[in-house]
Amino acid sequence: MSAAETEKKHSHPTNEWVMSGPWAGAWKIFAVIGALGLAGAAFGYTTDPRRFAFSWMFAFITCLSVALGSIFFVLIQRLTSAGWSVTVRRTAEFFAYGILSLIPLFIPILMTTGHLFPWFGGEHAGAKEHGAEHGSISLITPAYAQQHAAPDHAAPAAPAGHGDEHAAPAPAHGATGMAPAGMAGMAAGHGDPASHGGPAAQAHAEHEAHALIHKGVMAKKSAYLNKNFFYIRALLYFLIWTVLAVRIFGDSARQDSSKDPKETLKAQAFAPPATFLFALSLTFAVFDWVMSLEPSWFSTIFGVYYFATGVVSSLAVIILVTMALKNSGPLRGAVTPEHFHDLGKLMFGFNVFWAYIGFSQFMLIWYAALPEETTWYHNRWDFGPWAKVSMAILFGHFVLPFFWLISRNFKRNLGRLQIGAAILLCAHVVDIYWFVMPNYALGSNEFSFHWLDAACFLGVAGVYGAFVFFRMTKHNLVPIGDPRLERSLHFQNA
Amino acid sequence: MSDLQDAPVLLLAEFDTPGECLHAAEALRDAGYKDFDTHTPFPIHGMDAAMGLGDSKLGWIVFPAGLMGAIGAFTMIHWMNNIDYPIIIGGKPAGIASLPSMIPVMFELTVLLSAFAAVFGMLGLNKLPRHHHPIFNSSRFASFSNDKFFVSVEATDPKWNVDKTKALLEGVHAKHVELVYDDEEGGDELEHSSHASKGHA
Repeated sequence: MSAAETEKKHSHPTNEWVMSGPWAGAWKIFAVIGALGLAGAAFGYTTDPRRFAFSWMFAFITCLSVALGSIFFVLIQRLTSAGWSVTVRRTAEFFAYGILSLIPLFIPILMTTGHLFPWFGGEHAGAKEHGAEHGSISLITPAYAQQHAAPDHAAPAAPAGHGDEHAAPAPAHGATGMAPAGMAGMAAGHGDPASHGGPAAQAHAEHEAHALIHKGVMAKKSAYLNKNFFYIRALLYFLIWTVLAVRIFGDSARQDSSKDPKETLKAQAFAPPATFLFALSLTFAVFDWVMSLEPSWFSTIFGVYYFATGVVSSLAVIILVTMALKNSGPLRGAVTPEHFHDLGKLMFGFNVFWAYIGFSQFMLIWYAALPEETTWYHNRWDFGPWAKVSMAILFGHFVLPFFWLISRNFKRNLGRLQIGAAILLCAHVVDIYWFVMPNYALGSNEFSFHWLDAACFLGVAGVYGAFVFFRMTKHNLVPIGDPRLERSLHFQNA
Repeated sequence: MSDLQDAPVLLLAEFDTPGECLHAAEALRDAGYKDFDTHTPFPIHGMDAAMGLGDSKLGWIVFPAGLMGAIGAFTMIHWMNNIDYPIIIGGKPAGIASLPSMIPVMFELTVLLSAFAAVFGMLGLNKLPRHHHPIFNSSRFASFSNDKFFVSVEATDPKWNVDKTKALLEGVHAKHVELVYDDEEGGDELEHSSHASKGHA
């Protein structure tokens, strides 16, 4: 290839794949929405700070998952040295870089930790909560628990009875009839069998025993769940994410002008350690910010669950945004149905993964029926409104998108893929709502959609969107210096 | 010996490059041919479209098989544990409320039957296993697994015409075009010919 041809090849796309058309001003719309949302959120903070705290957490965690999922998308492309995805990678890089805009949006969470985290020693703390946290597990055996709730059925009813103590006080925690497996599990869970099943606990009334257990559990966890360590960890997460975002975007953007293939090698060398940092920071962040909303509950798979839902939502966002930019002009010629087919495959695959992880978490807890583990589903299943939300997630996040997206033709039909991505994105928002909001009124039948939920969501999503779309006007929408650009432009699945 | 057996069963065109092979496929597709195939040492991107291949029918076999796996597993467990011999395990009711315990088996059986359907469906759609095909009677054909690219047109094609098809293939710069005859699967006649050993390799 002659020098002139090389020159032509590189200069051609430079003029084409920049932000233009109707989406060039999108950041202004996002900014207005964000400003209105923030104003509403600020007003809500003054009137109902507790609701604001939970609404904001929901909004923050939702947008964070998109940013983290985008980081993961780029890392995977770098790890696998992928050529197909070059033309869509920049879109993911924009959304990954957008995580920087979420750092200041974490401040409201720091302001409301007392409302959010029972272990923080704020307004939230108190005995009234722990009963709900150790709530009934009638979810596990609805019929069975009712039939066997009588005191004389101590042995088989022990797992059910433990959570039902307010209704049927007889089966004590330390009763000899307690199933050994359950006993062992609880001992492990609480770390201190004496405080649980020992003679001292038996002497107390059920509720007091529970309070003691709760106190014991919290004392055990205080080495991790304490204010200072919480702040240090949060700082660490944002530090890691800042480094990842700056490197991910920087390596790629520098190549636009330098055309240096070494940037690609640099980015690929960075990806393996970055993936470790990403996985650890994501897991512990969601432990800290979401799982500790109900601190006596624990699930080791929780981080993976959040990771899966984040990857699905970010792929949905990448599909929707690249499609919008393709249809309106700026990405025309760069992204083809072949790319959407592959993005669709990834989205479908990770959605099945999400369902697999979600079910794994549920089934292990359901099967073991340990009271301190079942509370999560108790709060989301035994109360009418939340049970409906749970069903909506099951069908809207898995069953419907699964059958919609399983066909190759549906993934290659841009209109249908767009619908699938939109369904998954909506379901994702509901999923995070379902994570966070039941903690607002633990153990009660309360489900109310508050206007603050919408205000906070629009506020955070508006700021995030404005940041991302503004940056899109400043950089190329395709990594034009990437050595694999040509391969990606002519990519074909078969 | 009838005329039918003397008639060629396919035309085989040889090409040196994947590009020529791809364009030959496009030419055949555009001319309206259906019963033709390409034989190349490695997969060529865009060949599906060039050959005018439609969607694979495999999905219509795999999907019902997977569905049968899910339904079969559910029916089996429901019958055994909830109806025929109701059994309470781990305090879980012997009924539909214990669905979570059935899902792993439903999932596994779905995957198993889908995989079987995909493998055996693929073999069936490809008419495999098949011990012999007349195309192996060509002495040049063996290099399809080395460095040559072949296009074969079957005599069963509705557009088949020895002269016209041959002219078409030569028109797209085939290096070599030959007529291939059936040998009645190892019949006496060709047993001693030079092709026989290659044909069964």
